[in-house]
Amino acid sequence: MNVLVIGIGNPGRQDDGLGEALIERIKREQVPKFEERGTCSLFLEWKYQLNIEDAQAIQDADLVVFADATTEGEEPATLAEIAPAAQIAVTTHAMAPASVLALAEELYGRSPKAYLLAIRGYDFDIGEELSPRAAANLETALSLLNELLSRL
Amino acid sequence: MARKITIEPVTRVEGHGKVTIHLDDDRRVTQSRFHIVEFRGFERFVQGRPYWETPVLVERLCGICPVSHHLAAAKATDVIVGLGLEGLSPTAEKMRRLMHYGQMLQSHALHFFHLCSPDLLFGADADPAVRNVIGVILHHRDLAVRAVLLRKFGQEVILATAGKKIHGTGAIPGGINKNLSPEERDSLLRGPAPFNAETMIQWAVEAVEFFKDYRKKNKDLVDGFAAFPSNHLSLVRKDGALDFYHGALRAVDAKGKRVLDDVDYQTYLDHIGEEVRSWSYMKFPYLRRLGKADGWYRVGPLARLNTCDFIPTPLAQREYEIFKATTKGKPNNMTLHTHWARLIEALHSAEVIRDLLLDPDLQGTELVRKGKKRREGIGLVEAPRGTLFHHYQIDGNDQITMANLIVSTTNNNEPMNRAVDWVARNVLEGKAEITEGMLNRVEIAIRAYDPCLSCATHALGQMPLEVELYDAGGSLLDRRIR
Repeated sequence: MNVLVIGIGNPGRQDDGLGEALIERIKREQVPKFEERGTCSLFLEWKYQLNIEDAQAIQDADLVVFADATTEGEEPATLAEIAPAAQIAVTTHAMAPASVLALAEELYGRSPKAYLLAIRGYDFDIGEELSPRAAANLETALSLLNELLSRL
Repeated sequence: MARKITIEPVTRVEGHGKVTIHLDDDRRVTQSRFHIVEFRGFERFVQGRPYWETPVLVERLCGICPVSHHLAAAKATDVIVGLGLEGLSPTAEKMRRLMHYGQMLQSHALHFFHLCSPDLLFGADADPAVRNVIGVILHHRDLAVRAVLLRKFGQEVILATAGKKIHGTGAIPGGINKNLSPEERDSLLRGPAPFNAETMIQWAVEAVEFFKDYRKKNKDLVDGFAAFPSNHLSLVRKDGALDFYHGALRAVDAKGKRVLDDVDYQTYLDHIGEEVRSWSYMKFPYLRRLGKADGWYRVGPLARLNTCDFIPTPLAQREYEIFKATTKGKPNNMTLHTHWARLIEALHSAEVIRDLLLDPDLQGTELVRKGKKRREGIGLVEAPRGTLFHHYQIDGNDQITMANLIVSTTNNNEPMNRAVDWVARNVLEGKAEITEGMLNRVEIAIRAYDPCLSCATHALGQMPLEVELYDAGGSLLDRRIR
């Protein structure tokens, strides 16, 4: 089973970097925990934001997890299955995960099973460090992801 | 009762902009403004950092055009390490150029197919549920698929030249840190169809044809919407050619008279001022020679085709001649022709990418040059949305003491306000009801400039469309979110 985890966000804007921080943690510290299962191949990617080409990029995955900071979601983090959006919204900067799924479905006839890992952030000003509370929430997010993968 | 209409934020443009239109009791427009919360903190953020970090640091300004910031900063640091404006090795200069044209292609393709084409294909009065990219897919699937692949191709060019799709490190002070391997070259040049340079050229040709055909059927709209005279500014190659990576500053007025010509951009402060207005966080640049009131100018695709003398690739040049013929060689001041110019530039970018891939200099090994250190450097590029200025000063410890950035959206501040005002006076004024279609036209006017209002943060939960209606006393009359 091919699993793609996409961390989304700009680490130059404090807690907006939660998605990238999650990918880095998996790469640097958690790799054995995630990789030694033997049940899935894990692919990791970090992006500033999603865009139209990601509709094609997710085609090879059986399961996609979009990990992103949230300004108003539940603390500390939530993991929920998402479906293709009824409408596709796009700007030159970003698409929502559900819109990427919908675009994939429309263009290529399929969209993979997908989850949104929304990690609560608090500070989005210029800066390179996560806020302490966001850093704590990242730990919960990693646990949620680990739990999901353990069920595969 | 006098009214204030607020559209906040503007959808399908970036960040958080707000349009306010003030009507009097007779529904006449008394004032219209486009407010932008500009992102100035970054200039302070880089102070104290070593200058050689800036090409990578500034990529955090924008997730859609990090390459433009990367290269503008790298060009400024080239000057700091003592290179003249043309001092890079051929390999370094051409690798950067390839990176930049890859960025232009993917950005222009995204803008036209996924942001502009819904407005053109379905009209401003269409239901927003249809007037979006899904509508394009359902009715023009080939356009949508091509946009995805054009953008992906541009991203692959960036990956091959910058080392990464985001936070690339390809450009460094005085040069680059990698050349293009034969494998990378062949993949882009001769990749399996349709993913190769020739296919991208063909698709770009067809995109220009699509627009010309659309204009033929909708001439009043395309030629008349938000058209107004202005000055135009861009970099131009020494021989007058269109050039996105390097050149001298040229500005022409609405009738084509050159206001600036062959200006070394290291002296930009002598020629360009930035006016502060109390109601906007974003400054209003102007040509000093013409003064604050008359010196405002446009930048971007339309401006570039107005300032240059020719396009140095054959297919794009052919289209440029057709484009210029519509105004009998005079500057084109029709706002929606920006989309036409954008597609001609996309075609030019695809041609340049193909030609560069055939150039053996890209496999050269002289990557970096150095000269005598200086304390100040200025770098300019023509970014997808227009001229981008990066200016740095450093101290004896190589740390940045001053940074000044003028981004394309700032350069287009006054033109965007003029475009909004045009819509306010020509579409909204005197009407008994403010319809969805009227508000959409405000967006279409702004979207031609594709502003980046607040690059760099996007977290979940942001960017709804909010419409608010106020009375003369500032009380909220109505509020809509979509």
